[in-house]
Amino acid sequence: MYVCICRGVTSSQIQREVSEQDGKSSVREINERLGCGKDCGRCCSSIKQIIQQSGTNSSNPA
Amino acid sequence: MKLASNTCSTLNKVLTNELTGINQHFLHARMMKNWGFESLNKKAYKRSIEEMKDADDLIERILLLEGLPNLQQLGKLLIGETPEECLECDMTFEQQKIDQLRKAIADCEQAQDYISRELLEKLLEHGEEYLDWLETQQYLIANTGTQNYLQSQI
Ligand code: FES
Ligand SMILES: [Fe+2]
Repeated sequence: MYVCICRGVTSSQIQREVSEQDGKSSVREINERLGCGKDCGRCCSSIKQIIQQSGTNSSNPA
Repeated sequence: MKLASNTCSTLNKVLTNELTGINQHFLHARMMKNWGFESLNKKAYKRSIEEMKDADDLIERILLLEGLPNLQQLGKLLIGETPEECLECDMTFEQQKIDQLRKAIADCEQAQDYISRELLEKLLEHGEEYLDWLETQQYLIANTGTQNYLQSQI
């Protein structure tokens, strides 16, 4: 689904980015790279959640 | 007629959710249309208009109670990338909406604001009806397969 509506960034894009960085990304780093979270900021908590979930489940391929 | 300040904030929170619903369903409707799923477009479009009418009723009620309806606040939209995902997102949305309405109805009951309660009951009915339709779609997807289901929605 679309996580960041303002920039059209999807959950799979964020998951891919997190797994490429071995699950060590912060919300700010993800926002820098994908451009999400920079307008209304309403997606930041969802982005954080995705990072945490990807971190606990490092075999996540998407 | 002056209302208790917590009734005002309860009704405004419900209003935020209704306004969010207008936009979520409207965007999903036109995404469905763009993908060529005309009957899913129609269904979501109708739901969006229904939400707008619900919001209208809430706005009028809040004004009658001498509060200020907050049309500035909007919740997070849950938008899918595929038709199935859109339906899933709508399901999540309607479920949290129903939970919120049940609590709000209990609050109005406690404040002895029976007219607001009646209004919220109508919104709850709309939400339950749509959730029931969404559940039917998920059942159809699970039992006939996504391909066949989508074929039937053109
Ligand atoms: S939804 Fe991501 S910045 Fe607005
Ligand atoms: Fe509604």
